[in-house]
Amino acid sequence: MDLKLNEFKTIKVKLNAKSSVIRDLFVKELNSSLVDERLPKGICLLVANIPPFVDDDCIRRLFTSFGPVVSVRMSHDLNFESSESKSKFFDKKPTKNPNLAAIVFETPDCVQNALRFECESPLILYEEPNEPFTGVKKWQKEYNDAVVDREEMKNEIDEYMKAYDERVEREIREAKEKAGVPDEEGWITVGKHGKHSFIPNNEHIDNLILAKKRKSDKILTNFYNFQKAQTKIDNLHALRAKFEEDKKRLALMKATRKFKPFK
Amino acid sequence: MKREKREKIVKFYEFLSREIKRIPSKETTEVTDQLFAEQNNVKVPIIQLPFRVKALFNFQPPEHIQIIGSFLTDTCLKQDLTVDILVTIPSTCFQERDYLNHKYFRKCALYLVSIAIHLKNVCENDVQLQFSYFNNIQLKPVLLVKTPKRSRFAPTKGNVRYEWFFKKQSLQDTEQTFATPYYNSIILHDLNFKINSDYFVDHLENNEELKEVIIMFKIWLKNRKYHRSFAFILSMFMFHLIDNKKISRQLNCYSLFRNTLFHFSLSSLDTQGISLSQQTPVDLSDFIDSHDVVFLDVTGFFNLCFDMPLDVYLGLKHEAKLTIDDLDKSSPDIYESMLTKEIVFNEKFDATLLIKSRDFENVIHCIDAEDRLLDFGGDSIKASLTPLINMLNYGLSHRLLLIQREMKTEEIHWELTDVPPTLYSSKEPVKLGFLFNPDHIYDNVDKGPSAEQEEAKDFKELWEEKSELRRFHDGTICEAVYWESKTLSEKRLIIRNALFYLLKKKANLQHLQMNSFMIEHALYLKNMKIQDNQRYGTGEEVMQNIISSSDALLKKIRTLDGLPLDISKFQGISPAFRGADPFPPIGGDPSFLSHRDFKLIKENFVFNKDRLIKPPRLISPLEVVIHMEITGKWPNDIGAIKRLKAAFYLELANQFKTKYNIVSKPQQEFIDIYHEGFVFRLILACYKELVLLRSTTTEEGTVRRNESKEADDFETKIDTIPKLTSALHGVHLKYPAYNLACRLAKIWISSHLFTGHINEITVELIVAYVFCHPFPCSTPNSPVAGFLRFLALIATHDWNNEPLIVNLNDELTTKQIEEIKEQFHKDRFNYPPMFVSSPYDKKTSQFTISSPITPVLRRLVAVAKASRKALNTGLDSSDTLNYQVIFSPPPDIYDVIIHLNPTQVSNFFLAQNKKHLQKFEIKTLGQKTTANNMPIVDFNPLENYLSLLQETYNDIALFFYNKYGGTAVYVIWKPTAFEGKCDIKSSNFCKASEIATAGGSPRCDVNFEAVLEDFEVLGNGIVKEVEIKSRLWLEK
Repeated sequence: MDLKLNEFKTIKVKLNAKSSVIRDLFVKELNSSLVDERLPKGICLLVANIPPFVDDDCIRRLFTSFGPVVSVRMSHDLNFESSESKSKFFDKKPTKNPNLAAIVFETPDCVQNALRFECESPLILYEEPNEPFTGVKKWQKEYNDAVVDREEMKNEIDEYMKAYDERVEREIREAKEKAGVPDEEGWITVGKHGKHSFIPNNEHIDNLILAKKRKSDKILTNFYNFQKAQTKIDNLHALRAKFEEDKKRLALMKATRKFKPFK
Repeated sequence: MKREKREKIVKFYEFLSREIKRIPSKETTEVTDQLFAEQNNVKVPIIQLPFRVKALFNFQPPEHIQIIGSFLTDTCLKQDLTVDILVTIPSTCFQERDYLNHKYFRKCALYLVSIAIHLKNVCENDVQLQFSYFNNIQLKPVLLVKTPKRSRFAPTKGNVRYEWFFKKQSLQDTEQTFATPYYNSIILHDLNFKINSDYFVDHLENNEELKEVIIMFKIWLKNRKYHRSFAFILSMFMFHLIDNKKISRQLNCYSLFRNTLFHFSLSSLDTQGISLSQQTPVDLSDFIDSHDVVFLDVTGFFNLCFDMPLDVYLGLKHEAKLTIDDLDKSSPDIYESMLTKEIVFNEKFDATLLIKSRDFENVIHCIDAEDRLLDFGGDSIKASLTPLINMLNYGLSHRLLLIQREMKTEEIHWELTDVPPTLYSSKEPVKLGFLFNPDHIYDNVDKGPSAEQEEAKDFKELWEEKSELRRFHDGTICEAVYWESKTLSEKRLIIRNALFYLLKKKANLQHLQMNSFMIEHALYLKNMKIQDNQRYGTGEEVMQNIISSSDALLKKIRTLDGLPLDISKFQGISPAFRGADPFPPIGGDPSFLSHRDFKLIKENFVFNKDRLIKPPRLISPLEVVIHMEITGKWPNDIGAIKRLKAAFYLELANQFKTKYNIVSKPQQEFIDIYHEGFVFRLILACYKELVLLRSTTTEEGTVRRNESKEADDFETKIDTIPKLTSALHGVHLKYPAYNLACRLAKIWISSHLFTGHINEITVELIVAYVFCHPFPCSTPNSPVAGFLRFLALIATHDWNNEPLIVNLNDELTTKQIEEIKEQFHKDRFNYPPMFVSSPYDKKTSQFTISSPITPVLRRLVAVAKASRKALNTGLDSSDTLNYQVIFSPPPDIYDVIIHLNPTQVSNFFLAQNKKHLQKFEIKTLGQKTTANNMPIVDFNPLENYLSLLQETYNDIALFFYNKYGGTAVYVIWKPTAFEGKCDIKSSNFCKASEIATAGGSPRCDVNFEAVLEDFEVLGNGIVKEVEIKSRLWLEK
């Protein structure tokens, strides 16, 4: 889905009191098509074009001036998937800088407050003593955080693998139980855990089967006179096309020829 | 040649000959009476030293005028076209004893002056008249014929009197004469000119194939920087082969060319000599004693190769052999590389040496070659070079394949009114080129003859106090010279020291310059202090340590019990494992980490929080891919595989700790092991993971293959790079100079800020191309030659029209190569701007797909051209080469420069041109260090900053920086940044345009001020200053 600039309202902000650079934040009410149960309709504000160093605390501070904020969710696409993974160690999303935020206010008025907001002087993102958490300090923290607690990680892995093993075992058991038992419409599923031999369900084998089928689907060509004539004409066209192409190729070869000892 | 042009030339020739014949005869004068020349403002075109000579000169119109040479036979090259005209001086002009003391040359020169004066008066300004040397022989301004008996000029006869030449009394009273073979040959050259020219024309018989071969010889020689007069010798050699029924004149042009070169490459004109004549009026052995190379003409008196020194002959043979070898390989573009590529002297030879030409006057006395000086008419360089080279060849024969002087190929012209110049101006040094023998160039010992042999005396005489008796492994006791050296970098300098020793000691040459080794200074660690007495040199020893340490690590892993599966493959993938890391990680104890800045979490050093801390010296991990035995037990779930791998790392860490007390740092995707001072990063590879990454299950349950970038990257890492690593390691073992050339190339790429724009593997492949496909030169055996040819390849390769196919280990067949080329030409636009193919990556060139983009490639080519030129001039200069010129980025073309804080650049100690700013110290390079704690590994704020910038501003800017200790990031805005078309969904640096376009939707522009502020905020701590060079956005 495209976002159009004219649907948005602009709020001017700047980094801190000292900064002279004015930035634009684009805001609009989060419309219905984007909403799921976590982002209820009417009390959500979409903020776009957020500077790369801004985090959700900063957004929360900034928008509290329009009314109490329930939650802030940042993302770099409109799906606003929860960035929190169930696992502490695995399945982490790549840490791309988010540039969109969805703010959930307590009441719809707050959204309208924000949209109606007009101010001559820009808002300030980081009032003293706050400052953006970026650069070397952030990388130092990231380095520190990368040291894993071995015990904790081991326990998590064990748990996951136990669940996984159980799941696989259950699947096999179910498949075995189902083997040879027809479903409501009378179909019998043949799987790799059943008694009967089966053909794996993948693309490669599909292609093989299709190729075989195509061979058996041979039709008579050049049966009628007009077909024969047509083939000849087609061949002639193909030859002409090839001739033209060759001419072009030769011209290109001549143009790019490097052996010019007498130039 | 076109007919009209020919007719024009013939017409002009007729005019000339008419005019020359019209010149009136003059009265007899003394040769030294040159008043008539001065009156007409023409200088005599010959160096007259000593001036005084007793002879009479009278001018008479020539007997005979005719066109000779390549114009007559229609075999001349279109460029530098000259038409040779033979003017025969009537015999009445000469006296009986004109063979003596340069009289002949003086007369010829005066005769020429007469012609020149006349032509000058007749033609006035229509024709430009200049003098030139014939084939750059200083005694021969131009040519003539006929006088005394030929036998007077046999090589053993002396025709220049010692007393006359040196203007002093000979030591003995009797009239002693030195043989003057060279002097005699020059006169014979004139005497026999017509006979040889007729022989040449007779054999051509207007045979078009033969003419074409001669043209091919000329081009071949010209590209190899040999004098084109050698084409005459090669043609005569061909006729000799035809006369002797070695080859048939009916062959086509290609076979004639190939066979002639083939026989030439096998010839031994230096020791045996051949003759075109059936009779032998003079003994062949006389010629062999007095000339380097012997090839007699039809009369049997004149040596056609009289002006070809031995070293040049050997060089020519070497070239012929290279060409034949490559013709036999029948590679597809052989003709192109054989006939179109010009060879640069500095790039052909592994090293070059410059000798001040003024010093040669002393050399003559040192090597006792006054008789040669007499013979060569005072040309001290020509006279002494051959004995010098012979001496070096005797002393260093096993280290060197070839020593050759640089030939002067360009003709010297000068105005009638100028004094004739000498061939080597006093400023211009004499250049020698050396080809190394890779098997022995690094030997510590020059083994001489055994002590009892006669030759031992010569050897001792040559090396003097350097020579000593040594006992060798095979029990022999020999004279030998020992050169002390510890590291490989010192070993490379042995040849230089040996050459300098011999030339200074034996020839008293004090002004020698050998810049070829200077470039290696770029590899030294100038800002690093190493406390123990091991030497770093240029780091080869460290890389050997890395490999042996990794072998030891593998052994330890194999002994661990309790691992679920055995390790089947253990393959390093970091450049250090291929010997191609410019600055390999140094082992040993890490620098001391203070407890104020760092603390320990379970054996790992980490940063003390919330303060800006100066990072410790960068320790880069050495990546190793390990494969386990194949098993079907890996789960069918990608999450499960990842967790099992992590569990494996944890187990490995435990075992190492308990069994060997080795610290390690297990992570989700890898494990860092701190082993013998190096940090190894082990990555477990599993093909099942690759299959799972590539397949998705559709709703109907069908398993489908889908392309994903993650899978491709993963495959490159666990499959392609390991294969390339072992192949490139093979190249490294085969060619000793490869890895140094490679490392220099990487430093060059990086110092010109192309880091990240060209993949390291690509650089290595391009350098490998230089070594695997060296034709038309031989394989480079020194770093500087390899590096120069790398620059030349980048600068001259036609990236737009030709793929670069690196045939490692000759794995690709000719058919496959043609296939790749065909596809490439057919579908050029679907391939990246830079296309590099190898046996492991035939048709995709996966390392160049995303970068370099066309403008970057264009700039790379331009910079390579400039650097190649700078390096070549540096090598040709008699001052010490300032290698940093080649490694400093050109004047900036950048829009923004982000200056960085050097203390936060964790590999700042690698910076090239900042000496002593920051000294790093390490205790030891030795292996046996056991540390209880994991140091800070792979913490590089510069890389973090760059990847953040690239990820965020990829759409609007290009970033350039130097990976090895660079302290600035250079930015260029992409043209798209000014188009004002940002997508709100993905941008974070837009602003609503002030110009609300009437009617249309309001557009978005890049908020450049905000972006500049972002540069500062994002790099908080490492950024010192953002310098804005241009405010383009205000102009647009």
